[in-house]
Formats: sequence, C-alpha cells, structure tokens
Amino acid sequence: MAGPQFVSDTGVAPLPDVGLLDYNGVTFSCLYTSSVNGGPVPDEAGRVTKYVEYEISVEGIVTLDIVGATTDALWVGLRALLTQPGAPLYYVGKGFGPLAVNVPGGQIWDVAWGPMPKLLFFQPLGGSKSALIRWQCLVRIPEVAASTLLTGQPRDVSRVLQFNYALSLTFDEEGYTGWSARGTLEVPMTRTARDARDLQITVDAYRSRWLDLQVDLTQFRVVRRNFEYSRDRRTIEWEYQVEELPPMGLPPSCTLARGTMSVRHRRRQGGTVAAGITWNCSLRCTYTVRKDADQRVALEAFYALLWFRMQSSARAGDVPPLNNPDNGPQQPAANGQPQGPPQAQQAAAAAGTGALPGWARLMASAQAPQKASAFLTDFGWDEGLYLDSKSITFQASWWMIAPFVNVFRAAGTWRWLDGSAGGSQWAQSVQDMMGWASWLVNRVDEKADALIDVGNVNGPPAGTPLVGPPPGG
Amino acid sequence: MPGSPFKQEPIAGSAPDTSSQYVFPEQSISLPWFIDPATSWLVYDCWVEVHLDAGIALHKLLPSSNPDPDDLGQVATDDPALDAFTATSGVNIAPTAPFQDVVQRMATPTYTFILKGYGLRAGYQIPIPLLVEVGNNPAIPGAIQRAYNKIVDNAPGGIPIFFAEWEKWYVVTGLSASATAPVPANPALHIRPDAELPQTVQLPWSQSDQRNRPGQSTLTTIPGLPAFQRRRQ
Repeated sequence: MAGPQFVSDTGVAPLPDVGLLDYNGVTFSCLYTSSVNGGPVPDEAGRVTKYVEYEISVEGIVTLDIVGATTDALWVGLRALLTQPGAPLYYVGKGFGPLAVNVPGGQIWDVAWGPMPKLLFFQPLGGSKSALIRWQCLVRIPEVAASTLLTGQPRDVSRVLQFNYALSLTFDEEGYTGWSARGTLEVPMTRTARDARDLQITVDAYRSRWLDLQVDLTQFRVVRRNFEYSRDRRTIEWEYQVEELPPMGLPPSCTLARGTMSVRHRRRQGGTVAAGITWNCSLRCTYTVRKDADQRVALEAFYALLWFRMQSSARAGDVPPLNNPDNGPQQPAANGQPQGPPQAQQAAAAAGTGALPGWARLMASAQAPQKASAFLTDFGWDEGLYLDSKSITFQASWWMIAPFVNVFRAAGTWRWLDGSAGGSQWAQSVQDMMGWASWLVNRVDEKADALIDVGNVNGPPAGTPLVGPPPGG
Repeated sequence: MPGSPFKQEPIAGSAPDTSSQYVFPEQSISLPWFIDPATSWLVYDCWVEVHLDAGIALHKLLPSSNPDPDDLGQVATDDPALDAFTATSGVNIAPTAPFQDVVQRMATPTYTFILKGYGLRAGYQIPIPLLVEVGNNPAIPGAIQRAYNKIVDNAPGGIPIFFAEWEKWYVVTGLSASATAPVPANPALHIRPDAELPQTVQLPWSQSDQRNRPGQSTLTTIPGLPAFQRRRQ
C-alpha cells in the first residue's frame, strides 16, 4: 500500500519538508540535505565587512512527478529555473534563521546581482526515474539591523557597501608636493524583479555625492581624475592626482598656462658690450582656457601680465639725464632706490566660469598708466586649430629703459596684477570643475545598459529596452 | 549596443558663457610707450672723425736720363724659379734713380673734424647735431654738410619711427696742446663721455614676489577649507 505522497517541484516525496527551500519558484521536497558555508567579506581596506557571503549547498534526490515516466521533462524545467540568477530564494525553518532573499516585498536583497546559482552535479538513478543532484547558490547580503537594511531600492543613493582609498604622497626633487588618492566605491545592486532586464541606477549616481573630493585649489591643482566602472556597474575604482602649484599659479578660468619672460641687455649690432640701460624684454605665454568659458580669457590674462610688466618700468627710477652739471656718475646706486609698491590697486576678479566682466573690473580698476619707459616692439600669437584648438600662445616684446640697479623692479620680475593669477581667484574660477565632474558631467546612462539574460526562460517584461537578440539569434 | 554609455548633455555644458560677448575689458587699458622725449631714443650713433693734413709739399726733379722705373715687384709672375725665390724684403723699395725729392712743410697743419652719425627715434624727429668748438676754438662749418630725417616705420598705435643720418665737415684752427678730440654724448645710451666713473657697480635691487604683500600672509587658502575632505551634499 502506497503511503502518503507530498508533491513538490522536485518530484514526489513521502514526507513534507521541514521548513522551506525554494528558489525561483522551485520548492524542494524533503529528499535533500543542505548546508550553509560562508563568512564576512571585508572591504578593500580590510577594516569593515561590506557584506556576508553565504553558499547554500544542497544534495538531494529528484524523483518522478505524478505524471512522468522519467525525470526528463521535470529536469529540463528544473535546469532552467535553478540556474537563473537573481531569483527569489527561501531558506527558512532550517535553524539558520530566516533567509529570504530577493523576495518581492521583502527586506533582504542580494547586493551583487545574486543570488547566483550553480548546478554542479547530476546523476541519474534507477533508469532515469530519479536523480541525485548537487546544487549550490551563492547569496551576498548585508547582516545589519533591520532599520539600516540595504533595501536595494533602485533609487536609494544614501547607502554604499564600501568607500575607502589609498593615499600616495610625493615630494619631488624641487620640494613640491604631489599626492594621489586611489579608492573604491561600491554600492549594492540587484534585479528589481526576477525577470527585469534594465538598470534602474548605477554606481555613477553616487559619484557626485561620494567622489567630489575637495582640494585646496589655492595650493594645488587636480591634474587627473579617473573613474573606472565595473561591468556590473556596482563599483567605481577612482583616482585623483594632485600637484602643488608653483608660486604664480594659473590665471582665472585657465586649466593650463605656461610661459617665459626673458630680459636681456640690448646690444649694438655686432657689438660685444651690453648697453647698460636699454633692455630687450620678451614675454611668451601659452594658455588653455576651460572649454565652457570664452576663449579670449586667454588674451585678457596675457594683457594683464603684459600691461603690468610694461608699467613696472615706471618704477625704474629716473633715467639718467645727459644734463649732469656735476658730471657725477650716470647710474648712481642711490638712483631709483627701492620704493614702495606701485599705487595701483586692483579689484578681485569676478568668480565664475571665465566671465569677462571680471577681467574688465580687474583691469579697469587699475591705476592709470604711469610714465613708463617701455616701448612695444613686437606682438603676435599662435592659435591652435582643430585638435590643437585647446591652446593659444601669445608673445610680445618691448624695449625697456632702466638703470642696471633697477632692472628687476622695472621688469616686474616675480610680480603680476593682483587677482590675475593664482590664489583664491583661480580657485573659485575652476572649483566647480575640479571635483567629480568637469564642464561635462558625463553621467553614465543606465538606459544604455541592460542585462542580456539568455538564461531567463521567461523572457523580458514588455517594453524592456535593449534586451538583445533572442538566444541563437 | 546602441547609443552612448554616457548621457547626452545639453550644449551649454561645453559652450562658452555668451553673456560677455559685448564686453571688452581692454577698452580702457592702454600700453605705455616712450612718450617722454628723453626716453624716445632707440638708437644713436654719433662720432667725430679727425683728419690731419700735415701741410707737406713734395718737390720732384726732372730726369736727365732714362733710368728704369721703380717697381715694388721682385720676380715675374711666370718665373719658373718663383717658388724657390728668396729675398731679404719681399717688397722691393730700392729706387733705381739716385735722386732725392725736396720736402717742404707748411708752418701749420690743417685739422678737419667730420661729425658723422645716425639715429633712430620714436615719435620725434632727430635733431641733427652740430660741432660748436674744439678746445675753446670755434668749429667752422666746412664745404660738405649732409643730413636728413626720414620715417622708417609705423609702430603700434600710430607712432612714427624716424631715422636720421648726417655728415658734416668742420675746420678748426689754432688748436692748443691741451685740446681734446670731441666725443659726443649718447642720448640712446643715456651716457656722456665726461661722467664720473663709478668705483663699483651696484647689483640690481631685488623685490619680494607678488605673494608677499604687506598685511597679507605669504600663502593664502580659501577660509574654512580642510586640506582634503570628501564633499557631500
């Protein structure tokens, strides 16, 4: 006489299961043993647990269902269902505590696109009337208090799995500081539903909040920012590289500026002796202006420097007159003894992304031209075109008359118009583009990505974009 | 995969701020030039050449015979023995005629002073110099005087660049033993020849850099900014 029969998705069994083991709608009968092996997974810093990883191992018997003569038909269905990732998992009533993962309406969701099943072993028994199987399923879940559960809700941008970074500090041969930070930002992601193919969000949604590093731009400039996204869109490996600014810094709204000013004695044609009072000054500068600013900011920066350096010759002291009734020395040391700074006072440049009105205020508020001993002899520029259109180079030369003792002051060496380079003016002009984004934000489009889930027997929900070709298509 | 992995951004993300297209900050800013006449000299070269005519008259005797003419040469150009030729003096100065000239010298020589030079100046014509006196003796303009000014360039801002050149001859008589040849002053080099020589040369004065301004710290930072902090909204 046949005993009671309890029907499950893995066949008929004489007894009901104790507790529940169900994955993707496949409820196991009582004919199995199970074990759970796992442990905490530390973050990259090795300081905290970012989640706990459990591997549920099941060894059991698949029996005939109530209608089949062999396990073939039953097993075909089980193979597809038990290998599909991201499906709901129930492992309850086993003394392990409730483990219900990715259950609609539930609180515990896998944090890494799981649960991830693996079918390892199949052995037919009794002429295909039953089979011994071994099945494993990997789940990664947070073991936290209920109130702080990572619910996995798609738009919950307030929780991350890990944020840490390595630091590197360098002092170069010139004594300048450079540092870099390389880190990891990881967030939980899983399917919103078993058959979902789209991404509601990616780790990029966290970039503005978590990776907007604040650097003191009065001292440093950010020379490189790198964000590498993992294929599952859960992790960003990020990097910032920072260099200390030299004393002069950069003009407002410029991301790069280099230049040289040379001062040389004028020499007679073919002469070997320098003319001690007449100088050739040459200024050459190359600028790269941030793309969303008016590129003529480069010209304004050059004007500011050229104007200031030419005006500085007014501080050279009196040019020795020929009317020297005492026939005294033509260039006495007392001539042009260092005076106070020029009376020119300049307003701070406007903040913002290269707003020219800021330059207007800066230069217009400067002192009216003094009686300077400078004469422009050359002016020109080289404009980069096409792929080189990021930069432009200006050059200017002038003759300057200054006694030898005052040549540094007359040339304006180590000096520039207040607010025209470095300091808080440059910092404020580029602060918005030196963090998590530049003038282009480049947000990752979650709709441009999809789960090409050829292993999903149910197919994508209606209206799901980018599902890819059908299997074999 | 169709499309871009990154979201398309509004044009404004890469376009310049056009609100300032009608602003010209350089409108009220101008560059200096050598407007002061004393500093408008670009090039100046002026010198006085002194020519001395010793006042010599050389009297020649007519020949009474037909001696061979004198020749400085020693050997014919096509002489086969040219390469082995030797002589005490390569230049032959041995006269063939045994006669002597009579040299007659004037009581006084003639000193001629030629004032020459050129100049380049911005904005102003170059005044042609003149020689007034040499050693308290008046310089008398001679037969030859040439000078001109012309425009040779147009500097930025509409500043004419003048070039001048001159050559002027003067005769000076009655020079004393204490007279000195004149050396003109140079307005482009801002030096005169009789200036007192310095004992030493003062090094150029330095100046502190722009960051070291009175009342301000050498290095400034944005107030309240920590050195490194993750910024969160």
